Amino acid sequence: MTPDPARFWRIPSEADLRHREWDGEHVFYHGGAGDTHRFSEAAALVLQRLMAAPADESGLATLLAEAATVEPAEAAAALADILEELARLEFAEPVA
Amino acid sequence: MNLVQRCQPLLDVLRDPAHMATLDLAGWDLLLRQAGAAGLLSRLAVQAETLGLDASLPDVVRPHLTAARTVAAKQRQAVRWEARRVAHALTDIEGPVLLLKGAAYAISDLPPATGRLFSDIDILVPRAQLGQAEAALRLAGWHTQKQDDYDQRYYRRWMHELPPLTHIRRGTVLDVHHNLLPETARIHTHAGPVLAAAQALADLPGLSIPADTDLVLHSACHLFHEGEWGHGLRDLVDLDAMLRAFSLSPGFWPALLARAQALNLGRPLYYALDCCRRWLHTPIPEHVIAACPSQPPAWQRPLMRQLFDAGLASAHPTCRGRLVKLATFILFVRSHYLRMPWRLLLPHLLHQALRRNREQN
Amino acid sequence: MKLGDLSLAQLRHRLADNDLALRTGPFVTRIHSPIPQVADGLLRLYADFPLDAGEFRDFHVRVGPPAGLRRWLRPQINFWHDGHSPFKPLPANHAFALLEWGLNWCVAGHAHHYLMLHAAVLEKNGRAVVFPGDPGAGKSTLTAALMLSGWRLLSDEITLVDRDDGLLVGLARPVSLKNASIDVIRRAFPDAVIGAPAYDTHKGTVAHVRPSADSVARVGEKARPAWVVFPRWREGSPARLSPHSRADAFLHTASHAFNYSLLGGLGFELNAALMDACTCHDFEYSRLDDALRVFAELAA
Repeated sequence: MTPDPARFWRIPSEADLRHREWDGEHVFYHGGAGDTHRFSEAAALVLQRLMAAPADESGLATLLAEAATVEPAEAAAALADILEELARLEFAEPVA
Repeated sequence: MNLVQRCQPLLDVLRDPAHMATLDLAGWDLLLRQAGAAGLLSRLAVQAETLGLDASLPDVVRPHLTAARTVAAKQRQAVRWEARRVAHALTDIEGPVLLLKGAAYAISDLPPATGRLFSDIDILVPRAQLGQAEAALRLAGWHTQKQDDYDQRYYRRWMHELPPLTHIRRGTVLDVHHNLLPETARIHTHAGPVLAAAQALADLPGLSIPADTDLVLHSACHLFHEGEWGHGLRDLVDLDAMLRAFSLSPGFWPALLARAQALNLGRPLYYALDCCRRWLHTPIPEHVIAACPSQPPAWQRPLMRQLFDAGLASAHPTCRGRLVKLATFILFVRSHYLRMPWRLLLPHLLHQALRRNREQN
Repeated sequence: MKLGDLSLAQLRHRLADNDLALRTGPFVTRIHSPIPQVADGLLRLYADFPLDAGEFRDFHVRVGPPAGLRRWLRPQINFWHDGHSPFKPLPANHAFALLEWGLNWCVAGHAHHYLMLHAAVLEKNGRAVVFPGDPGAGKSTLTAALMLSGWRLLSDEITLVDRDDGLLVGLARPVSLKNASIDVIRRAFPDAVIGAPAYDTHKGTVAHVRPSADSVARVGEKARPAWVVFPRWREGSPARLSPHSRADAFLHTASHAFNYSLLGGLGFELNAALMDACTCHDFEYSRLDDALRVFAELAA
């Protein structure tokens, strides 16, 4: 999926996500699919942001850039990978 | 003691869940075993909670019901999620996509959904969309299991069905149908009217469920045509729950009979009504049963009753009569006989027997 | 009344008549078996356990010959739970081991009012250690040794977590040992009571250690979890504890649990609470006495 800064992402309806963190490591639970995963700090940041409310790719990239103190372009590339993984695992989905 | 009498206390409780409040420890011991074997423990457990009985239950019983409710709640969540994924995968299919049976009950919160245990998801699509549906589902991760050529042929060519699809990541199973009964079945029914009468689901765009009468008829023809008597009583409970709820709408009974006529499913409906009334005391007006189309001839009824009773009681050792093994075998053969003509059936049964033999050695 | 109050003859009789109900922790199991080896094993390893005279049983099991011709050729036995057999038949001389596996199966397959982890658990001085662990890591040897040196055994296989308070519930059933560990425990604890071994099982040679009287007597006491430890026996290694990531421990216990998925969100919360309550460690050892010393220090 090609990046689109204006595209919104959200947690799928009835996904029932839960999150815990120990010593900097993040574990997420997906109630609908019954899956449990460990995600990187960056992915966890994105997911926690989406759990609060849907957000667009531009906003998510900015979030990552600030947290990692990198350039937005670098963050956007990382974000694309993260969103693809989250979509594949059904933890997040693009809003049509 | 006839079979219906033997299946106590389970039948008493199915007919009236409040009866659970009157059971002693010996009664609970037996009920948990009978209900567990019949796949109905979760339902009773949810009903006990709804009726507020849980607090007054014996302490030793309560954990069993808690456990049973936990299992059902998880499955309900899983089915709902799976239905969403199916809807998502089939967004571009023309024509309706219908959830059938358990998934339909779960998604729409129909009475049979209470504490129900699910395994596969069944959907119905127009025959013309079967190929497209299979392709879309494969893209979304559902594949036919590694089956030998024989199985693929059995499903595709002979039964005109897709083999069951398994999701590559979640491991869930999806059965895609294009009719209520296999095309080779002795009773021919039509999918067109069922698709046309489908009710769209508000919170799941792209998915529908059959009309009330069709849900009942499908459940009836599934139970009385398939050989799966392991959860026969559970399927009967589904029917009873639907009949009690739907018959509150005026005009339901005549609509049901007319629909049975139109879909050529009068025979299984007759068996369903008869068994529901005898086993679960479903309030069905006498004139409705009398007016059921395609009834079996009078001489056949006692025999069929015995066979079905044996099948329905087969779940637990305390319920079975002496001849249950023979009866369930006859029902098994019958289900195959109904499903395919002799020229296909005999080689098929032989092949299955040989394969089982190979697997055991 | 305890099982040990019966004579062997009485025990055999009652087992054959389907008239023996045994309490193990929170569960009462009615056992039906005509097999002498089952009676022998029960008397040797379950003498301290209470019998139940009530009318309600949690499980109804049978260990006996399967129907059919085979029973005369090469004697076999099978396990049934309420008329349903979850296993394939085994040689008749594995009867007691089959009963033990069957009893585990009953709990793991049904007791979903608990979160059930695949782990051993023991308690000392009010705190419990949980050993999740892969097969072959030396977990059973360590469990048996700790019990025999005074730790209270809750379970060698199934950790039951109470869903309301997060405390651990015990079964205090015999500890299952395999192959070399049987001799290791015999040598280290000559007074330990060990049942007759079953040879050539799918796990090799299997034998069971009688649970300590203290463990059985106190099985009704729940335990507070404090440590999650991943043991590993390694030749020549000094006994030492090192930190183990809690997120990793969470994922490990979740993926090896009997019903983590089935419990859904509750399973996640309970497992997470366990990780919150515990420190997580790897533990390497080669000598049993060193290992026991490390744990004695841990529990002090």
